[in-house]
Amino acid sequence: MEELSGQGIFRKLSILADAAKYDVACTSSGADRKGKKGALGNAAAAGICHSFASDGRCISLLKILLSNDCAYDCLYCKSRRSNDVARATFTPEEICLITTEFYRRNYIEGLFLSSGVLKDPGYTMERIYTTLYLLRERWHFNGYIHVKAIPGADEELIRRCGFYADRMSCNLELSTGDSLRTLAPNKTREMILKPIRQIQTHIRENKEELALYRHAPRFVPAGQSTQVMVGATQDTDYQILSVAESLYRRFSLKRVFYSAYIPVNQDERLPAICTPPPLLREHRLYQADWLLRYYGFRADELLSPSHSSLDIRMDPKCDWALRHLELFPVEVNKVSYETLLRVPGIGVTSARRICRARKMAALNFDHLKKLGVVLKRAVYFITCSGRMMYPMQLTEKCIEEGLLDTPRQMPADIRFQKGSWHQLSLFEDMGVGR
Amino acid sequence: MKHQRIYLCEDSFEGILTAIHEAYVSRYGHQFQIIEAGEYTEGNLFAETIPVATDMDKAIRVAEAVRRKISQEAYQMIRYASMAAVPGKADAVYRFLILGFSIGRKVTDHMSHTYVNPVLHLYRQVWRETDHMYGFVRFRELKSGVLFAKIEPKHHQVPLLAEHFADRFPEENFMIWDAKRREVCIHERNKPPVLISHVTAEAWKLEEISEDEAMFEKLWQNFYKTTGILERRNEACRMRMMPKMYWKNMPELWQKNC
Repeated sequence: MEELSGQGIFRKLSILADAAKYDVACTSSGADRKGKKGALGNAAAAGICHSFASDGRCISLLKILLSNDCAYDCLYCKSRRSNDVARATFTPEEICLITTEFYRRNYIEGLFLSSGVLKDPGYTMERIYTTLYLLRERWHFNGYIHVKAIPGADEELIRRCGFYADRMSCNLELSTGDSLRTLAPNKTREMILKPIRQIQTHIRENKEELALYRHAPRFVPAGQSTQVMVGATQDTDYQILSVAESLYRRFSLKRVFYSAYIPVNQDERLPAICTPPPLLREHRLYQADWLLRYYGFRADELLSPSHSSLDIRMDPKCDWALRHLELFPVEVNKVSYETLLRVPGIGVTSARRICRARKMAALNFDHLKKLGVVLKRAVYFITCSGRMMYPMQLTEKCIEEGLLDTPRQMPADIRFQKGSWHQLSLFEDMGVGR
Repeated sequence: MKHQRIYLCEDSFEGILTAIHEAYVSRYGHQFQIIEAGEYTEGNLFAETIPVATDMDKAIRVAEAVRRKISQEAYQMIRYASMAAVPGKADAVYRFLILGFSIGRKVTDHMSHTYVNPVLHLYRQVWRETDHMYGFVRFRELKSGVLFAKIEPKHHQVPLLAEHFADRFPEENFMIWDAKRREVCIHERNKPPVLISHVTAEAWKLEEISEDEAMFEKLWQNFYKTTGILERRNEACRMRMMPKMYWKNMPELWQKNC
């Protein structure tokens, strides 16, 4: 406690929280665990947000680095070896203390432990393992833990960490091998994919074991995730989404996070230092990511090499629907759940509610509104008992105008872009003859 | 045409269930009866007001009937709906149960029905806040080592939070104090939580916070400030996710320029 009362721990927490903040993943979902006698904490399946930072992002976990004293020299990273920044390293005990004391006060849902490469990957992973071991076994911490697998570390160490952690992740950072080679000289794509494959294999084996022995220790119950930067290189949305899709399909990842790149280092291979992060593009990628995971879309349905970036003006589902008007309108009271999911303005929750409620009575537009359907977008694509809500012209241009968000909500550069908005003209648009 | 009857009950889940029991056994006819919870203000010349005293036995009988004859889901819905700080909630629950007892478990599928939709809506309103509170409750350690949290939620939340935190902190002594409703939940190590309502004297007001408390609070404020990315600052989004009414009980938001 002597050391703690000094300024040491304040300084360390400032440095190491600051260095960790660019990692966007901060969810505490996926693990469901009851509290137990003698221990501190439980885990809720849906995750709990404890606060929201000034940037509007949820703070759910104590997101820190074990150390920012990194041996690597990745161009995009603030903690790269050649940068002159304050360095600090936590001891495992310090992390345990802060985590449990924060947890008791209900500040956080658990720990998110990442790290720069301290000496070498093996040594770093060992320190991480020690921290998790102490936290779970000595401090009896039963809350959520998300931990990074350091590429290049010993397989056995990663496996042992997995039995203490709820989620593990290993950041891909750049979606193509080429950009990784130019920006991260110490990493290769194979090196990053190796632990991801490894963790996937262990999760699968653990599932089989759990089927046999119900009380077998659980390995990474909340699955693994990764992060891809957006806007640091020329990678297109199509490339990024295709990578995400193959990660979901071939590596059974739970989540891929997208992080709008914020320039922290000056280099001609990177965007200039005051470039604003592409936040709207990041948002559209997340929307598309949801379509891949929950709505049964494929990446090549949304984008293609010739149509390689998402429309910034409207969400990817609207964009897709506009390009496939031949499939609409659909009859809400009849079509399958999968088809409902493809209608703009109907999400997973409202589609489920529709399927439940329509067994009892035929639904009309009023009912749909009560069930949470966003009629503003859905009206163009659905009928209730054979009728549309209003008589309207179902051409791409008319619908597009109706779907676009109100100008107020659009960022300035798009709002004032020529051609995206135009004044309605009585003679041209309404077809009123002179 | 019969006179209308208004059953006036205590503003609690048990109170509402008791009133529903009374309304059923009176056999007066559902269309002539209304249930009101809390203080009744609207005078009605043509209605007869019947005060209902909360009776645990009757409430439990109704609760059991809901679970057995309708479903666990319906029980969960009326429990949360009864916690809402919305006028007319007691009657909404009553109407929902009338339909529920006549058609059984499929009542929750009639989501757009005039008797079901209001309860569903209330349930979601309360649950949304409960979900918020799971995260936004902040404990402070007192000199005695007890963790103390003050909350001022819109809806009635203490019973719902007590369950959650009792599971989360089995080894802690903690208290959650609803300053608006003057109700407190007390959890002693490894014991089920106890609820006390209508608290008048506040003994804990005299207690000071522990020595470590100030340090961890500062550490947390420090962390909070650091973790926000300046280039992404988005005040509107933060306010939407974390409405300002909760800020006054959250230490990280007490600081300037947070």
